[in-house]
Parts: sequence; C-alpha cells; structure tokens
Amino acid sequence: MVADGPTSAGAPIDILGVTQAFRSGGKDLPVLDDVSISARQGEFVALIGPSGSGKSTLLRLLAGLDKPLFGEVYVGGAPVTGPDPSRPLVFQDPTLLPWRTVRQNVAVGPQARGILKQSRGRIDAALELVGLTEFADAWPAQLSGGMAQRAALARALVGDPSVLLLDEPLGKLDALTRRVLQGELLSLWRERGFTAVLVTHDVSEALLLADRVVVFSPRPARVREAIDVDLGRPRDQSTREFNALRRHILEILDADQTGPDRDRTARADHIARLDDKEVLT
Amino acid sequence: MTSTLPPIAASTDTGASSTSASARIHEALERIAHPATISAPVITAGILSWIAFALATGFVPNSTDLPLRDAQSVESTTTFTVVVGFAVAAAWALIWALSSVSGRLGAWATRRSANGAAWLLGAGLWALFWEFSTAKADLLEPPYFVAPQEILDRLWASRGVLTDSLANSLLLLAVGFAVGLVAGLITGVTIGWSKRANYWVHPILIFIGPVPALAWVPIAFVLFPTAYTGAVFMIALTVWFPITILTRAGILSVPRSYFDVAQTLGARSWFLVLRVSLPAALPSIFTGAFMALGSSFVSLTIAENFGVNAGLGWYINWKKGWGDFPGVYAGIVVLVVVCGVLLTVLFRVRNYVLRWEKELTRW
Ligand SMILES: Nc1ncnc2c1ncn2[C@@H]1O[C@H](COP(=O)(O)OP(=O)(O)O)[C@@H](O)[C@H]1O
Ligand SMILES: [Mg+2]
Repeated sequence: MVADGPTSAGAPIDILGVTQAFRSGGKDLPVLDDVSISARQGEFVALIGPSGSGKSTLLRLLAGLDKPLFGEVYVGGAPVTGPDPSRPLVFQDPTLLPWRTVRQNVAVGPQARGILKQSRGRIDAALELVGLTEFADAWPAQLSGGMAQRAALARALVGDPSVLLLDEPLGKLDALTRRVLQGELLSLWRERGFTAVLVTHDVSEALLLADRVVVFSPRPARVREAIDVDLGRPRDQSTREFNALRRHILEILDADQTGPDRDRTARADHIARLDDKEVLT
Repeated sequence: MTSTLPPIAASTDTGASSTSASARIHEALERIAHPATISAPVITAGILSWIAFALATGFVPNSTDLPLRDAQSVESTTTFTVVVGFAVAAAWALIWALSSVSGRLGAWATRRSANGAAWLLGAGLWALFWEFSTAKADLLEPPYFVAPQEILDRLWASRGVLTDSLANSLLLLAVGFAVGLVAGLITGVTIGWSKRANYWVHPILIFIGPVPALAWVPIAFVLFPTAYTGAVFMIALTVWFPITILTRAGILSVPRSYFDVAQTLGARSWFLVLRVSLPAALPSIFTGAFMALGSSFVSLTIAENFGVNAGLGWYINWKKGWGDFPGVYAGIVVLVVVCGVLLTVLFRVRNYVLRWEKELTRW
C-alpha cells in the first residue's frame, strides 16, 4: 500500500486513450487500442497480458522512447515528450554496456548529464543499495544474471527516479534469485517512494508486488480489467484471498487464449489449481 | 504453500584439512591454467642445433668456389656469427634453467621453454642448412643466395643508412597511419550515424576505397605539392578505407537497446555517438586496424620507391639496383622485424582495450 512508503518522490501517471500501431512487413499492425491507465503517486502497478500484446510498447511510450499515434501520456502532470532520467526503463536483459565496469555502468546517467563529479557519493550509495559494492570494478561479462540485473537497477535508481519502468526485469532469472530480487525490489520501492510500473508474465509476482494489476487483452491490447490488490504487506502467497485473485486473473487470461496455446495454458492452469488445493487443505 | 529451503550444508572441515584441500585445488587449477610442459629432448636438440651451427660456421672451411666479394664478406663476419650461434644456445639454456625457479620469473621461463622449444630446433636446423648450402658447399649460388654471415655483415656495415631509412619509414608510416585512422574514424562514425551522409559517402567509399595504392602513384605525386605529402595521402587512403568500412559496420550493429537505455538515463546525441556507438564498435574497428596496418606497409614501400626516395622500401630497391643482394636481404630483414613488431604492438593494444571482452571468469 502506498501508505507504507514515503510519498515524496513518486509522480502520478495518466495514460489517456492511447492507440499505437506499427507497420510491419507492409501491413498495419495495431498494438494498443484506446488504452487508458492511471497510477497514483507512488503506486505500484503491474501490467500482465499475453505475450506480444503490447506491454513493452506501452512502457516505451511512458519512457518517452516512442510517441503514440493517438492519445496522451502524462507523468507528473506534464506530457511526456521524450526520454528523461526521472523515468528510467529496466529491461529483461540487463543491457549493461559491456565495456564499462559495474561502477561505470551505474555512472552512465550522471555522466551523460554532466554531473559525474558531484554524483560520486550517489553512485557508491546506489551500488551499496543493491549489494554490489564488492563487484563495483567487475566487467558485466563477469556477473551472474541476478547481479547483472541488480546493477541495471542501481543504474536506474542512481538518478532518483520518480517513475521506475520495469519490463519483465526478473523474467530470465532462476526461481530462487527471482524471489530474492522481488523482495529487494519491494523494499527499494518502499524506501524511495517512486511510482512503479512492472510488466510481468508471472501472476504471483504481480500479486506479490503490486497495488493494482492491469490485465491486457491479446493484441491489439485493451485493458480487460484493473484489479485492486487489497492485501496487506508483507504478502503471503498461501492465503485464500491471494489465490482467489490469482485464479481470477488466470481466468481472464485464459478466456482470451485461442489457437494452439490454449491447451498449454489450460494445463498450466490445471496444475495451478492442484497447487491451490494443496495449499487450501 | 510455504516452501522451506534446505539449510546450506555446514562445513565440518577443520582449518588444517581445508587449507590442504585449497592447496590441492590451487595446484589443479594451475595445471589447467598453465598446461605448459617442457619437452626436454626437443629443447636439448634445439640448443645443440645452435651449438652445431656455431661450430660448423667457425670450423668447417668455406667453399673455395665463392666469388671473392662474398668470400671476404663471409670471412669478416664469421667470428661474430659464431658468437651469435653460441649466444642463442646459451640464452635458451639459461631460460630452461630458470623454468625450475618458482614465482613469476619461473612461470615466464616455463612458458617460453615450452612454447619456443620446437621453433628453436626448427630455426637451428634451418640455420645449419642455410650455412652449409651457401658458405660451406656453395650449392645455392651467389649472387641471389647469400650466407647468413653476409647479411650480418651488411646489417653492420650499412647500419647508418639502415637506421636513417628505418627512421624515415617509421615517421612516414606513423603520419600516414594517424591521418588515415582519424579520417576513417570520423567518416565511419558519420556515415554509420547519419543516413544522409551515408547516402553520399558510401558509393564514393565503395569505388575509391579498393583502388590499389600503386594506381594512385601517378596522381598522388602530381596533385600533391611535395612527394612527402603525396606519400602521406597514399598511406592514409589505404588506412582510411578499411577503418571507415569497419567503423561503419560496427556502429550499424550496435544493439538498439544500448541507445534506449542511455537515452532513458539522460544521454544526448554526443554521448550516444562518443560513449555508446564508438566503444561498442571498437572490436570491429580493431579488425579494420589490422587490415589497415597490413595494407599500409604496401603503400609505404610503394610510396618510398616512387617519389620519396628514402626509407626501407627505397633502400631495398636501391641495393637491388647495385646487384648487392646481401644488402637487399639486410633491408628485408629490418622490414620484416618492423612489420612483426608493429603487428605485435597492435595486438597488445587491442587485448588491453578490449579486455572486457575476454575476461569471462564469472563470480
Ligand atoms: N518498432 C516496432 N515495429 C514493428 N512492430 C513492433 C515494433 N515494436 C513492437 N512491435 C510489435 O508489436 C507487438 C507488441 O509488442 P510488445 O509490446 O513488445 O509485446 P509484449 O506485450 O510482449 O511486450 C508485437 O507483435 C511486436 O512484434
Ligand atoms: Mg515485452
């Protein structure tokens, strides 16, 4: 809940009737269809939806890397006109610059903005925050997946963002590392109070972290439902409420599945239900 | 479902046994890291082959069929050659001995002995064959074939001219290479970055770039005010082409996500060009630099012969004009050494600059 964290740093988000399309292989490809989402200052919003539905596209619009065909994107009350260090994006791949050490990667933002000298302390603090002080002088190629993603987080946090955009940041990590990083992400969010937009394909992850879960339809994405997660923190995956929400989201996602993927999801859901029974009994 | 993780197995090792275990691991890793094994028979044979070369040079009488000029030249350098033969043998015996020393010196000597032994033997056998086929038996006849002593004789006798030529060559090469490198980097970055620049420059690059240096000679030395600037132009052009092509290719292949990340962190165009594109393109640029270095030697020797009239390329041709083949070989020896050293230096620079590519040990 928002009340948990300091509310000073976050910025509210308003996505108003955004439609986005690409031309791909000579054909028009509608990706976002009249999407409207708002987030309060300091809110943690999770986006979930079928792959290829347009979640990353929406994050790129928020980051200011692309412009929507129609509709408006506001952050902190001002229209988004381009990329800004107050709205960094963390990808599924850490995308550390491989020729820079971990510390130099964290320093990219300050250096690009010409405030490297004044930012030494902040850089060290960011490294400390994600527990990479010891590896500050390592090359990215020497890091494990989890450490690389931590470095990417430190790099995004060093500029004290008001909105943190996370595009499946934990998607490629093993289950154990993912759990650890979910916890770290949560405490960073509480400490810093930024507004977080997390794209994930993991329903439990969304419910574990977010204040609200927005479920997308398949491409072109529309908002199927925005679900308030009225669960206390820290959250417990074994509660009845948690699993009810989880099943609800899975049902929305399943209803949209057609074609060859349907069987697989149905099976996954079946297994999920078995899990639930085990838990509930 | 509350999953419980298995507790991390507590180490029950006592301090003493764990240090001996870590010593064992260290040794095993050492063996993997430095698999160098010295082959005693090969390095012994190698050292002996150089002793044999020294003895043969000194004590087997020279062929009586040698022309007077060659005979004198061989005669005057024989003692020195014998010393060289013994010196090579002694140096390698010393390195071999040092390989049993511990520490970095020992490790270095072990690597040298293990790597160099076969070459030592091969070179020694070659030197023996060379010595016999020329000075001793006169099987390969002068003036086209010359004994090793004669080359040493010329290297020493012409040391003044050779040093001057070497200095001239290096200076011309350095200036031409530097101009070509800077021009190539600027062109490559510009056309890799700007579609409009690429539209105009790329066709020119494709047509002008591959024209061989020799074909530029008539134009270069007429259009440019001095022969020297013409030569710089020729060398710079042959450097410019591969550097430009590979800088452009490197920049075009930079992943878009690098730019996305840098931009969301506040980077503007200059940062993206100089701090993202250029470093990301460095591996490709170094490939270009190796190609450029190779072709710059070609243009250097051509330029030296067609206008500059100084330098090693010129020296070699000048000696050939006089029919002085030992002199030609002496010039070639210096040129070969220069090319090898410069290439090695470039390799070292590359390995240092791109060390982030290599050091893949994970924590
Ligand atoms: N720049 C682009 N050009 C053409 N098609 C694109 C572009 N970016 C995304 N797409 C397409 O838009 C669709 C949605 O992509 P994306 O937002 O990445 O989905 P996801 O929800 O999996 O993150 C995909 O079909 C993708 O191929
Ligand atoms: Mg995506």
